[in-house]
Amino acid sequence: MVSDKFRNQQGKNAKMLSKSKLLTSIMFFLTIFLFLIFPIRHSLAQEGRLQFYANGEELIVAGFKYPHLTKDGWELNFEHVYVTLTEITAWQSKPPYDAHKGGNIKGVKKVALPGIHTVDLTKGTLQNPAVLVGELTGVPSGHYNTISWRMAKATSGPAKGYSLLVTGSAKKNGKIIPFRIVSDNECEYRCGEFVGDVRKGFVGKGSVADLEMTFHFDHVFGRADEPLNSEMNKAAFGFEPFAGKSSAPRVIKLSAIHLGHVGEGHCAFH
Amino acid sequence: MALFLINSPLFLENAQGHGANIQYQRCEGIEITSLYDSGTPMAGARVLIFAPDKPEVAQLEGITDEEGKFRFFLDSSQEGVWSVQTRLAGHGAMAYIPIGNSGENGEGKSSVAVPSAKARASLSTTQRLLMVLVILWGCLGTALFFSRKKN
Repeated sequence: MVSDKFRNQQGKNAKMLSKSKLLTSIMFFLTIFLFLIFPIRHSLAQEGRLQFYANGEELIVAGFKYPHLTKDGWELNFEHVYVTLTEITAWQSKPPYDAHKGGNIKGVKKVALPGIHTVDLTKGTLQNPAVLVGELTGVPSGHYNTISWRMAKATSGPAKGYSLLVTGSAKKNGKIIPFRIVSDNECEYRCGEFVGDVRKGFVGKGSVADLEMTFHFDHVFGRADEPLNSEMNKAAFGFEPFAGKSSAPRVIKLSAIHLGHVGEGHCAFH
Repeated sequence: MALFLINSPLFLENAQGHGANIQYQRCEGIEITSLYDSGTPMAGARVLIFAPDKPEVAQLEGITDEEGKFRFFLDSSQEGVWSVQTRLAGHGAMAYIPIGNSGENGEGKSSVAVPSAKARASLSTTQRLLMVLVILWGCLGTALFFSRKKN
């Protein structure tokens, strides 16, 4: 009897010990889990959203109209202005990127918008000419003071095969001609901070910030309301070279024009 | 470029006998010169100056002179990187002025934070080390379980 009782007690003790071990293990892993999850949740709370916009500005949305004619006096109306963008990357660079010096971006942090995006810049409005390209969530907070992107050939859609496709009509001295300007040239732009009415790229806890890829078509066509000997007009083609009799598309090289900007700030491109 | 302005003490008297005096202190100033790529001065450009503690709102505003120059004083108690923007007729630029030790531009280490991998990007070294330890603990436990002696 005593021996049976002893054996029962031993069995109970063994079960209790086993339960105790199990409980200890659960507690251990729970502690580890809680230790891990709380800092992660805290880190995630330091994230916000970052939107990327493409902007052809008023000259694309409204067209080159008097007094903002092309440098050679043409009025331009745009039907479509497709730009195809990829490798869009926002950087927290340190030191801030100097586009005039060019070279590689020294980024402390970077976030990239995946995919190839073809955007029609004419879809903006006069009040807000910028067109949303995409948005990232879960972006670590900080000041994204640098942006880089590549203009690449579209793989589908109306601009397929082109990095830039501009269609519309031009008017001068009562003559109206349609035009189609294309480029299959690929070009990478590396830009510093947005230069404009507001500073951009400040991502805070739970907030929405934006960055802009600005396209200056006055660097292609020039402006009649600027001196002809200005740096921009000297480099711009004007519209005359595109006003041939043939209806074949006119081809331009992106590397020959300073198209990509950040607001009024210039970009390094190659 | 550092600029030191020193005004000399000056005593004036007028008919009413009201005295006036000017006190002076040395201040460190900044002079910027804004140029087009061609080297032409950006005369009449709008200047905005942003302090390190409120980088989204301009603390000072001004206009460049005919040589593209603008002079201003910084609150040197605000250490960090001061940002200066100049804009004129579709052209503009930013400059960054480090003030004090905390404002010195260092060479940042590059690291990639991919938003689609939020949790991974947010893990600290300690958390990663703990995760490795937990995995090792699990492996050890599994190994001991299979290597135990069966009674």
